[in-house]
Amino acid sequence: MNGTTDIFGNGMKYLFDVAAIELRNMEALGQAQQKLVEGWSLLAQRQAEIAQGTLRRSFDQQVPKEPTVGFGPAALIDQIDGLKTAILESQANSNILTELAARSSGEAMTILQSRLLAALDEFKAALGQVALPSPTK
Amino acid sequence: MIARSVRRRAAALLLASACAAGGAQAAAPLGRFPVDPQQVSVSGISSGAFMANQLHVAHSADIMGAGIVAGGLYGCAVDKLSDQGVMGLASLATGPCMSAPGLLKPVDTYARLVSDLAAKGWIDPPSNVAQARVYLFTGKADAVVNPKTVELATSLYRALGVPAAQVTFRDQDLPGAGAGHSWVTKAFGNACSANASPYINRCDYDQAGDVLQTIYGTLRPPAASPGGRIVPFDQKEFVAGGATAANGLWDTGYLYVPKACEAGAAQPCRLAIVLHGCLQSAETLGGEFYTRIGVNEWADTNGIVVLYPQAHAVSVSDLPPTPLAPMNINPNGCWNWWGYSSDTQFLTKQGVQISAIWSMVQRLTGRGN
Repeated sequence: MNGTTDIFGNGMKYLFDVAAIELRNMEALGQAQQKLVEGWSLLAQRQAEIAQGTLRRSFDQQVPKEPTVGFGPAALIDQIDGLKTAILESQANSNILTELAARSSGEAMTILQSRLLAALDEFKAALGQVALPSPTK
Repeated sequence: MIARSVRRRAAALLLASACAAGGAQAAAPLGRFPVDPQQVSVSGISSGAFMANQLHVAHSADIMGAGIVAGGLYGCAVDKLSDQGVMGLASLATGPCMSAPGLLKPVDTYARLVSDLAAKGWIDPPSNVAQARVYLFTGKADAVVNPKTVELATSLYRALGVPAAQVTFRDQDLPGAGAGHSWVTKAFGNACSANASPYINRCDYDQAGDVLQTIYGTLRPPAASPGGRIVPFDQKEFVAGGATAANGLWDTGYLYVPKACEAGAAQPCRLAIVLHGCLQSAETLGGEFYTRIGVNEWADTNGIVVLYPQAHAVSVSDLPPTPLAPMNINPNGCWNWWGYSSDTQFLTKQGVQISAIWSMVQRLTGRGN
């Protein structure tokens, strides 16, 4: 009789433990989602800044500070330098967006991974407390 | 000729013993020396310049001047400031700060960041910066850190209240074709315009002397060869839990002690912190940086103890196995000026590296443990 009570008591405890683990999993999922949303918002903000910056610089380039020389080598050198700068800036912008996106999903993954590892340990501990009867022939 | 050969052999022996000490066996703890805490300066090249700038701004109440060679601009890699710290990005460091300065924000933005960090008590009040004497340098052939970044770093110092008379900005007034990305010497290293390892270039220009005289005023001429000693010391004790590798610090740092600055010196000496750049640590270059950039020669005749802390390359295996680990590496052994190793305080007094270097200063001056 005692054995049955123990099994029933342990079984209930096991169910409560599992429910608590599930609750913590849900919390972690919520935190991860929040991290992703924050990351996306930062990404959108950065994209807007990039667009503003590009517009501002292209507007600045519309207004030459001094009269251009025409088609001489100096003008060509200026254009080549401008092109190099544009390529480097475009690459830098792309790298920033990529890093922000990777960091945001990395943070979410970190939350989920650490929760998953903890949940596995918790399940192991909960199972260890259930005294199941050994199989009989 | 014989004297020169003997000197060279002695230097090689000194270097060999210093390198051995930096290897497998642990170096001795850093000792205390007769150093005047009012005469501490910091200089550096490239990532060392960014770190020198960070260290200076963070501890401006206790650092009298800075030498910034091919780097600088406080906070240019910071994307976001919060109550928990700052978020830096490697892509901001390699992009706007180094290769695409057109993407940098107006200087006021960085001055505001300084004020905000000071308001949080994370760095010294910026009013102290205005007292400093500052040297900044960019070579016109620099292909690694765009000269515009160094110009903006100069503007930031001016915006923080440093009078023009206290700022020495060198860019295009060197002999020859102008320097590549390097610490510049009179006669040691690569060709002047090179942008290659060891990032020490010979441009017939004594940068060490210019840096030190900007900060300390007119000095006595340098020694022909250093007569002091190189002291390897243990850096592990300056990082919580001895976790140097995970925080981009090597186990061993180096100190140059002129004879006049040994214990029992008649007068307290000055202290110059000199920071190498990426790919320049003793781990990569052996003793080349801390013996050949010309600083020790000036230190010898002017009573300056020189502290050469050492950074370390951080790989994924040095970090906890999380999905963010690949974003926190430092493959070239640079100083932390973009927040690798998840350091959200990298540019403040609480930053792991700044805090470690400052503890070394405290030990040397007798103000720490």
